[in-house]
Amino acid sequence: MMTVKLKDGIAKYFLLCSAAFSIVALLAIALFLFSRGIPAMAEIGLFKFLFGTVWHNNPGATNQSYGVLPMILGSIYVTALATMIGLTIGIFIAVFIFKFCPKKIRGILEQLINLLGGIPSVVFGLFGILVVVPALRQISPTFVGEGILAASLILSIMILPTIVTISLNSLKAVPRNFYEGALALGATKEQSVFKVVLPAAKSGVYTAVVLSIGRAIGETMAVIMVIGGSPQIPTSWLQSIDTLTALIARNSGEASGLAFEALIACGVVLFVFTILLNVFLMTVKIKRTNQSYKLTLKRHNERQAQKLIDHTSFLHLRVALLYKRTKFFIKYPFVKLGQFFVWLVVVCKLNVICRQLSELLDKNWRAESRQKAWYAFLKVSSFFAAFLGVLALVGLILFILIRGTPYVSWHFVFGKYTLDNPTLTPAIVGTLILVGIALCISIPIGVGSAIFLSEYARKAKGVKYIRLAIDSLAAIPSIVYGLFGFIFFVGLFGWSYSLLAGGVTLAIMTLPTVIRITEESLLTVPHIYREGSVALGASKVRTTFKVVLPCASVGIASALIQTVGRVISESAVLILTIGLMVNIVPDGVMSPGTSLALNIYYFGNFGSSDQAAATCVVLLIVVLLLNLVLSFVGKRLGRNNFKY
Amino acid sequence: MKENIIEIKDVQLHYGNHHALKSINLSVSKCEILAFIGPSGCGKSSLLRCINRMNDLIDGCRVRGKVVIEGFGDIYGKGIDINNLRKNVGMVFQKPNVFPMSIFDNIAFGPRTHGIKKKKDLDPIVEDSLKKAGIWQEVKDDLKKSAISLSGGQQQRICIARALAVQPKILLMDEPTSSLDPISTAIIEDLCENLKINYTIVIVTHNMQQATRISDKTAFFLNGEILEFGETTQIFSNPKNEKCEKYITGRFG
Ligand SMILES: Nc1ncnc2c1ncn2[C@@H]1O[C@H](COP(=O)(O)OP(=O)(O)OP(=O)(O)O)[C@@H](O)[C@H]1O
Ligand SMILES: [Mg+2]
Repeated sequence: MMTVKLKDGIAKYFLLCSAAFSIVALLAIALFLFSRGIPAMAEIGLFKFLFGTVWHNNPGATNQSYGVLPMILGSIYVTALATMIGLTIGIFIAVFIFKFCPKKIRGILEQLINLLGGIPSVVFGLFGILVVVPALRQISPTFVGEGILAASLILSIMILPTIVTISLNSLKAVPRNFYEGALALGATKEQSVFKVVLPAAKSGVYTAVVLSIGRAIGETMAVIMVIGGSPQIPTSWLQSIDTLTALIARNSGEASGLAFEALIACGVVLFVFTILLNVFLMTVKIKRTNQSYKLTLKRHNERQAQKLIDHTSFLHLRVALLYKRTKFFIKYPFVKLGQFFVWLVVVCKLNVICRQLSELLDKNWRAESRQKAWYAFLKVSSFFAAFLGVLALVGLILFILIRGTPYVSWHFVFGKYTLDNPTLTPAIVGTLILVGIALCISIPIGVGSAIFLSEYARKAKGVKYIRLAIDSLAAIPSIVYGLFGFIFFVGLFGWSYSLLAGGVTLAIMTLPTVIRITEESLLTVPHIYREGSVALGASKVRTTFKVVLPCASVGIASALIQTVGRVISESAVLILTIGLMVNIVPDGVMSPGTSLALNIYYFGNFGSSDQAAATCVVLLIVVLLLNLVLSFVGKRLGRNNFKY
Repeated sequence: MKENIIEIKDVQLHYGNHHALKSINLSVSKCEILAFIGPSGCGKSSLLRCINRMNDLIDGCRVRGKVVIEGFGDIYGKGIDINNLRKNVGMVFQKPNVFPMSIFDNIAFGPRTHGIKKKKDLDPIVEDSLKKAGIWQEVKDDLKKSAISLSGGQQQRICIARALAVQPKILLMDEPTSSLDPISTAIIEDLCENLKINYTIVIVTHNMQQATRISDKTAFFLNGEILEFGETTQIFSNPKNEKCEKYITGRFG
């Protein structure tokens, strides 16, 4: 049966190609950014560029200066704070949905989270401008509401869905008998969840960390609206500063010559920064898994455990000391930065320490009540986190609905665009075309890569590099994609400002999401299905596409949701690639255009917040409809699906 | 003397550095039931999976030696069409693994794989296989139902029917009844008796009574070796190997 073999070969070849696409994309992005950014850095002077504290590029001014240290610090602060808040709340929410919440609410909650994932970042930005910043102004001693705090609050709400969805997926992927086994050993529900299921879902949680840091660092539009925009070194939580992404987005429109090249250099910094972060997180991940493995090996060794206690209390002392010292130097940004990292380390360590301690306490009868209190605390925290998350979401949606609904009309949505009476028709057509282009490219390639990674090459050598490329692509900020699209598709390919340029850039950007979600759901398909199919004489292709893939269809559908959601919410990429043509309905993929999200930014920028809010309402309705359709599809597919 | 349908010659199997099977020699003749018995981890499943090359799916698993199957020659030799081999050597697993599709689609999966696509051709195959597996009466009105909604015993019989639907010559069963209740077990044992007329069956079991009830020949495994191989009646009434005797009388430490 030559044909079957041929089919197998061809399929494998195509899957390999789609998996290799990530590497090609990453290399292309790196190449084009570096080839423009490095010369610029050289011209400015690397040290002056990275550690210069003054950014001054007003066109025409004589004393141009390109120091990005303030923006680098701004980016780090905002990202760290947002990730910490988001991660803490997000994991608790995931645990809450997974085990503690009543069945009836569970579906609703998952829907809400999905919905939150689909909300464009500009909507968050608008919410920030209209609510968060004024509120912070009330408590600020200097009456400035913009700055790190506002941006990280907005961002932490924004990255919640990513964290919750991924953590939840991996919690669900933990075999049921882990949980039941723990229960059978006499552990309480809380103990089983926090001690057995959550650690088993670790890989998913790490994925969540990488993705959410990527999103936080890469976020441009929400940040740009609440950060203030003064390129100065941050010394307070409430003070107008700037981040790398916001700087690029704000200035690339009018910049030219060296000023523009300097912005590309900023893109390089962001790129390198995120890649380094990614590598760092990966090494931590590997180390951690090793550590926990060793720990289980030594678990029975009491003396070892005693040592651990000594060590941890020592650590506490050291941290306290360090904290005191750093407090002394609090005014210096670098020390403050160090303080942030100490905090980060403590938070990370605490979780390990607590787990180890609770393991010890397990053996100690007398400490049982204390342990119970600890788990009760965890449980209450997860309730509280879920409450907070839902509150933020409902508040946000309600606010926008109330603000924008009065301005929504048939004419506003579908009418003809005039200067006095702006409408959304061009944006709607543009958005549809963008979504179409992005899905057509990213879903086939993404699903293909996921299949290759999980079915064909679980342990092959080169796979490491593919995974590295995918992780890196996921971490690259969208504004960097924007720069890349601008240089590569708009410029080099000669597509000029066009929906095609924007759509293709978006497709590359959403690829990692598709791959990851699809792969996670492929991994949940029991191995015995594959064996069953192969034992019937089915070829690898047939097994993969007829048995394994249908089982993962819910995962692919959710990948689709998130892709559409991201394409709809993205505006940073589009600012640089599709030309912000708000008044003309595009007549094809090659014409410039706009999207709904971009329009919100445009209206918001023009001070017409009524139209901006109304556009938000329309966008939310689109997202809601999309979610309804897909949850319906998910149910239909799920009905025939296997039970966990 | 009946002709041999399977001949295993000096098979060695490694999982990474772990030497799981040490020089196995065995032959199975047509239309007989062979039982593999032995303590856990002694390599029964490993050998079973050699017979249809399911071990290919496991990373780091290497097989040396020859497994000659009638009509194929050495299945580890060159130019073997593995899919066709597996079509002729069916397998039923320890845990029922029906696919998350309708009962009909489950049974029809195999035939469809091998080119039978028309419903009017599939219908008789599906009915026939379900009848042979003794589950037709229970599911005939509801072939569109998802196979996962069935009970464990029913699912296992669906798996057997699914394996039969591609008309294999040999059927490998790895502890097919270990997760089933006595009634389902009895049904499946009866099934084996009936299937014996047309099929050669190799079955792994931890249940000594089961081995005596259904098998013609028995192989006793220990630590990756076959210590005793012969007629089931002889092995259970008069075992030659001391360890084998200890094992079947339940005094094995
Ligand atoms: N996938 C694998 N990777 C590595 N080692 C394996 C693998 N499968 C089995 N082994 C090892 O090979 C040996 C034989 O395993 P096998 O599954 O064949 O035993 P078995 O006789 O079927 O046991 P049981 O009665 O428990 O099913 C065991 O020591 C086992 O640890
Ligand atoms: Mg076994």
